[in-house]
Amino acid sequence: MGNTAQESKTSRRGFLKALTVGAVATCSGAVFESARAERTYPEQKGKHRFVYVIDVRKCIGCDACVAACKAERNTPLGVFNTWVEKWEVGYTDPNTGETRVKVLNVPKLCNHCENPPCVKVCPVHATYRDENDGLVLQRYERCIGCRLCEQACPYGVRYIDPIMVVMNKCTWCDHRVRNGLKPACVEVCPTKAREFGDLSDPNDPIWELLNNNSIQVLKPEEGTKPRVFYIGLEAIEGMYVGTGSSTKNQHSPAIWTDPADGKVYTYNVRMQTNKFRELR
Amino acid sequence: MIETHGPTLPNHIVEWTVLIVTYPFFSGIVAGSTIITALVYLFGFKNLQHLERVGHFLALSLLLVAPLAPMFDLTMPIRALFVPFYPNIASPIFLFFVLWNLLLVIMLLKSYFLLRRDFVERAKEGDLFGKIAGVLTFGAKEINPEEDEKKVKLFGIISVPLAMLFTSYVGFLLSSMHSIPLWGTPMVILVFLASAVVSGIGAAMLVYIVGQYILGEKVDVNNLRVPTIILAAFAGVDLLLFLLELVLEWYWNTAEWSLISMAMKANFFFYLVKIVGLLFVFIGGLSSLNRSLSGITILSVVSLIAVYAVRWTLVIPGQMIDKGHRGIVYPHIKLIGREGVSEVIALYFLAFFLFLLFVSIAGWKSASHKEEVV
Ligand code: SF4
Ligand code: SF4
Ligand code: SF4
Repeated sequence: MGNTAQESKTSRRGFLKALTVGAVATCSGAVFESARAERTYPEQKGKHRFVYVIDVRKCIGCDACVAACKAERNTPLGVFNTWVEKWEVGYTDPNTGETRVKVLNVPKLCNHCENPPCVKVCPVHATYRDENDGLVLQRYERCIGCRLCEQACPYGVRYIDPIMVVMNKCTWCDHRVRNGLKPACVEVCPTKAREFGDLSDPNDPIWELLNNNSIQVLKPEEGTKPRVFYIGLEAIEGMYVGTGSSTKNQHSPAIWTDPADGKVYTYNVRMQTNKFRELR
Repeated sequence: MIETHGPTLPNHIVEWTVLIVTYPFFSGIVAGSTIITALVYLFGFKNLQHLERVGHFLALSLLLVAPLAPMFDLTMPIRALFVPFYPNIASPIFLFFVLWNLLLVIMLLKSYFLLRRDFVERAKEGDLFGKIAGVLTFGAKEINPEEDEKKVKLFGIISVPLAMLFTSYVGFLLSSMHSIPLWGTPMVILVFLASAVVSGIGAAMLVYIVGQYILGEKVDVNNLRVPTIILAAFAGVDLLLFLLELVLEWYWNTAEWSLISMAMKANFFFYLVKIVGLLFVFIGGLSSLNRSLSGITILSVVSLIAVYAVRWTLVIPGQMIDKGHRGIVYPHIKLIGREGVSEVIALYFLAFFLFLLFVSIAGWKSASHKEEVV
């Protein structure tokens, strides 16, 4: 009886908290990119079940992966298969209760979604999901260049290749992974923040990584079932923070107080300017 | 230089610009002018038959030109021919392909029965257009006008919902992109339909009035009052839908609202033209302006400008909002080259040329009309 009362009390408090957080989000500005725990692994349909894991706690933002990808895929100027975002996130130190700021380097690349909207909209099946291993790939010789897939992808990873003049994106290095190698960006990562594995192999070390950590994916509300799993975004799980007015390429840090517990958070994002964007 | 405001994802540019703005403008006119067809054949406004004929020529020429806009927009235009060979029925473009072909067949059938009598008459004159008209009769000599009229009525009525579907497909396309705040709502489809009616009636009336003026013929203003009132009503509906959409966006996308408003501010001019234009057409069309020829002419011109702004505000601001939801990217409008303004101008000229060609072959007025005058 006591237990039930306790439970209902906590859940009511949680509800009130959610309500106030929602209200604050309403008053504040831009949405913080959502990340939420999701632990549904791709089904085994064919030979492989590839997954990509990024531990943002380990990423030092050296951009070696970006350079490696450029070299491996011969990606032209002005477009990127992968990039590293810098998020400054405020948090409350659990030991001292002080408000602190930490920098997260968040690498982004194609999520090779299990339910990819890009594949659904392609009029000629130029972008397709290979059910044998879950890779979402391009048939360059067929793509008509309508950019429907680019509009449909919620993660902004697609681009028109300035040299081939058709759609291109990260392939999870299909030419490497199908031959037993790791993607180029994983191979060069000095801190092992990027990991790649095959869930069809029960002995793959990726299982350990997934089982021992809390896993998040980006924009789960889009229903795309992304297959890049993030570790270390749980601290900011579901937090909506105002970003205030912005300057050219950097948001001024927003200070945000959670009215439920009085804790203070700040949030700031910095990204490299892409000076060669117009080359497309 | 591509301008941005706030942090944006590195691959983001505004992909669809003037050509994709033009495409729904054209297809909207096609759909809207079928409203006049409905008035004539469904509601029996026989005095609008001449306007309907002009609207039909306009719709046919724009229907033929419209797909060139998204086709020029492709980075590989020739590969557009792949679409029927590797069909993906889940893709909005496949829907476009089916609807466009269906509508074209129906419109051509309607043209044949609408114009057959004119072709037969025209073929008696030996000049070049007469010869073309002779071929287009497909061997018909004895024509029963009542029989033909029945068939025109049938195909005309079929073409109305088909043309509406055809234009709302773009709305469907945009509303299916639910990762983009300004697009992912079914309201977009309704806005597409309402503004299609406005631009279709406006364009048909304008071309009709200008044509009659050039030929030195009188326009009976009383005939045009009904379409003008419909024009005004739909301008009002369009405005209402826009305001409703705005409230919905503000209410539901609270988190993205700062970005949405930033993108809207960047296109302030187009929003202004749209609101003022639609309001003018709404109020003007229901006022005494619908009793004078100059009033109706002004209303038609304003309706076209306002609907162009509607198309712009539907296509551009949504794309400016970054997928990282932290900044916006400004569109880069080119004058020449792929997706350039020059291509749009070329499309307008092509549509005009086709319109002139159809009028030259089939005649501005129908044979029965000429008989009546005689
Ligand atoms: S991340 Fe984007 S491009 Fe990659 S599979 Fe998902 S929807 Fe498609
Ligand atoms: S741009 Fe190419 S890959 Fe993307 S939807 Fe169009 S045809 Fe398909
Ligand atoms: S998996 Fe390959 S293509 Fe994708 S970001 Fe890494 S190196 Fe580039």
